Formats: sequence, C-alpha cells, structure tokens
Amino acid sequence: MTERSRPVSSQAELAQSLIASARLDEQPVPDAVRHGMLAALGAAGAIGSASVVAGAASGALHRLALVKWLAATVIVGTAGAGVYAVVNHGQSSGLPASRTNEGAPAVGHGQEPPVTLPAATVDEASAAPVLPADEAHNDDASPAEPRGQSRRGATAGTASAGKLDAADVSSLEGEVTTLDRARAALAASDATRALELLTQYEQAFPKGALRPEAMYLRIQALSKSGQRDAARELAARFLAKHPSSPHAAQLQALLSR
Amino acid sequence: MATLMIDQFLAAAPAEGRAAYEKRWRAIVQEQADFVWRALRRLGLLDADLADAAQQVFLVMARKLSQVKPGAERKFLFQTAFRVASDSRRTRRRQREVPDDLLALHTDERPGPDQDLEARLRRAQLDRILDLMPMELRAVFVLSELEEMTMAEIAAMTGTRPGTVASRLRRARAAFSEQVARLHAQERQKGP
Repeated sequence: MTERSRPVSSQAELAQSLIASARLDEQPVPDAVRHGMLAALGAAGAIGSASVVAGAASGALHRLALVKWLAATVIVGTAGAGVYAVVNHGQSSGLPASRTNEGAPAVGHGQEPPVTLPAATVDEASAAPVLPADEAHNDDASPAEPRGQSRRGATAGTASAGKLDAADVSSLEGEVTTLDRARAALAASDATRALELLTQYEQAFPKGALRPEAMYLRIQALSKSGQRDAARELAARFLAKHPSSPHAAQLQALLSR
Repeated sequence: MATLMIDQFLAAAPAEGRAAYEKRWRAIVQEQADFVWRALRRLGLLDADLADAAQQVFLVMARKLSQVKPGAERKFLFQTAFRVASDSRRTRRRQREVPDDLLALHTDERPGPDQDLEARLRRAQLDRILDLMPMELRAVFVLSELEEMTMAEIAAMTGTRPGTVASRLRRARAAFSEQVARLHAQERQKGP
C-alpha cells in the first residue's frame, strides 16, 4: 500500500521535517519495561538467593531464551505470563503475550540466546571500539555469554552442591533454576549429572510448566551419555506431542541418523 | 587486573555492598532507561521488538555491572544497544528486502487515525532512509543529528577516534541528503 505525504517546497524543508519527526521517539519507557529493567539485576543472577546465583551461571539470556521457547511452543496465555514473571523475579511485567514470540526462531535450535553480543562490546575494561571500521565489522563476534568449559564446569559444580529447596519447589523460578542447572551440567559434558537433575525436576514438578523443555534436555543428555536408543524413543514421543516445536527439525535429524 | 564476575562479586559482598549495588542499579535505570529506549528505536528496532531489546541491553549491563566504571554507564549501554540493533537488523534483512520506494509504507507503519499523520509519515520515511545506511554511519548520524551530541561526545560514546567520527558523519550526511533528494523528486513527480 502506498501513502503520500504533503509535498514540500524544498529539499531543505523536507530534510528538516524528517529530522524533526524523530521527536516522536522522545517518549518515556513504558512502566512495564522499566520494571523489567529494574529486575534485570536479579534476573542476571547478581542479587538473590544462593540457588538463584547458582542458576544464573548459565545465564539470564539463556533464561530469556527459555521463556521465548516456551511462549512459542508450549505455554500460552496466563502460563506464559507467569514464566515472564519469573524472569522479572516476581514483578508483573505487563508485557503482551505476543511479544514473547518475537525471537522464537533464533532460540529454536538449541540453547544459544537470541542475541549475541561480542565480548568487546560488553567489556568496558577492554576499551575496545564497539563501532568498528566498516571493513572490519565482525558479524561473527563471540557472544557475551561465556562459552568456556571452565565456567560451565564451575557452574555444574555449584549446581551439584545444592539440592532443591522449598522455595525452588514452590515456584516457577524453581523450575527455571533446576533446568538451568541441568543445562549447565550438560554444557559441562556431565550428562549423568544432567539426567539426575532432570529426574529431580520431574519428581519435584510432576505438572511443571517447563516439562517439554525438560524432556528436550533429557533427549540431549541421553544422547550425550551414549543412550541413543532411549534418546530416539523420547525424541519420537516429543515430536508426537509437540510437532511444531522449534526443536522439531533438530529432533527429526536425530531420528533420521 | 582480574575482573570479578558479578555473581562471584556479590556472593562475597557484604549486605551493605549489595545495597549499594542495588542503589546504583536503580539510579542507572532511572537515568538511562529513556535514552536506551530512544536509541534502540533510532537504531532501527521495530516497535514490536523494542521491549525485548531493551530488556536484553539491561540484562547485559546487569551481568557486567562490576566492570563498568561509574560515569561510563551510558556509553556501555549505547554500545550494547548498538550490537542488539545490529543483530536485529541482520535478522530483518534476511526476512525482507528494504523497498526502493521511500514513499511506500507497510500497513503497520501507517499512522493511526489519532496520530499526527504528517509527522508519523515522515518518521517512517526517516526510518527507511536510516535503514539504508550502514549501522556505523547510522549510529553517528543518530547521535549527531537526533541526539544533538558533539563529535567529541560521539567519539567518547562510540569508542572511536574523533577523525573516524567526522568521516562517518560526513558520509552519513551525504547518504541522508542523497535519499532526501530522491524522496523529494518522488513527491514532486507524484504531485499533490
């Protein structure tokens, strides 16, 4: 569809009106978003209980990715809003449910966050230029979320030290924390520990909102631990229940091997 | 100097340290939230993506807070917003091409009935013009022409040399003028 604006008398006037139109951007952040920003410190694992700190080692962005995955595949309506509240540490985000679908494809193929940020960008101490020369612009920059085995290993160690406490069990946050631990163990190549944590999750949350994610992690853990037949059987069940999951293509590939 | 990760820092921090940390965080959100929101918008985020993007920027900031020197928060946030916006642009570029016709607007960009139609239309056209610029040029143009910052301030904000800023600003203004001329010609051709 084509719209036309009022013709202007000169290029200069047109340029001026275009620049002036940017004043429309000068609006305050919506309250719900501001609340989310305030809660980001907690969501990043910086402030909170020991269990939250341990869970945060696998990353707040992973947690955000998890929420998006759920919104895209499993949880709709109030349940999805509830999970967003977990990210915001109990604060009502007030964000529309449709918003959670925005980055679903980006997180559909694994545990990487929807947006990757180069270490140079987020490392103030490095003082590295963030706006690079055009020719040197690095589209494949490494993500902000550390991928090093040492960090993941430390995470798994921290996770294995703790058991589910009452607070974990009582809330969706506990679900997220437990799955974060399982994911961290998996990333540290400790599939046995990941399977233990997933069993803990299933026992603690028999009707958990994140069970599909737990199922997907279990498939990965089984596959990594060499139990390929069990992984394939579970993958087939997952696909039967969630045929439109973003993980579907990945699991189909697993089944076709 | 070894840099403590934020969770390690806080795990060892006394209660008063945590309180100070939280106080600093509230001040950052209070002072910078509107700037980040506006910067993301001007760097090309669609309205539908703004809330997610803003949340991502502040999550990164939260994780790196112990490494950001007091006073450097806005710079850090802008640089992070730049990366988020760049990633978003790449995703959108894969999904659709930017149309040549600067007058053509998608239905979701058209002004609502209760809006200032002229300004909204111009804002959408400005976005289209900025979308045609490389992100490095767009960032400098936004900071200079829309945020009205000096070149020295832009150099500090973007972590680039003043000479580079000047060069990029010159190229950005040339690109802007070229597109304005094109748009002007289109409007004249189509008539009132």
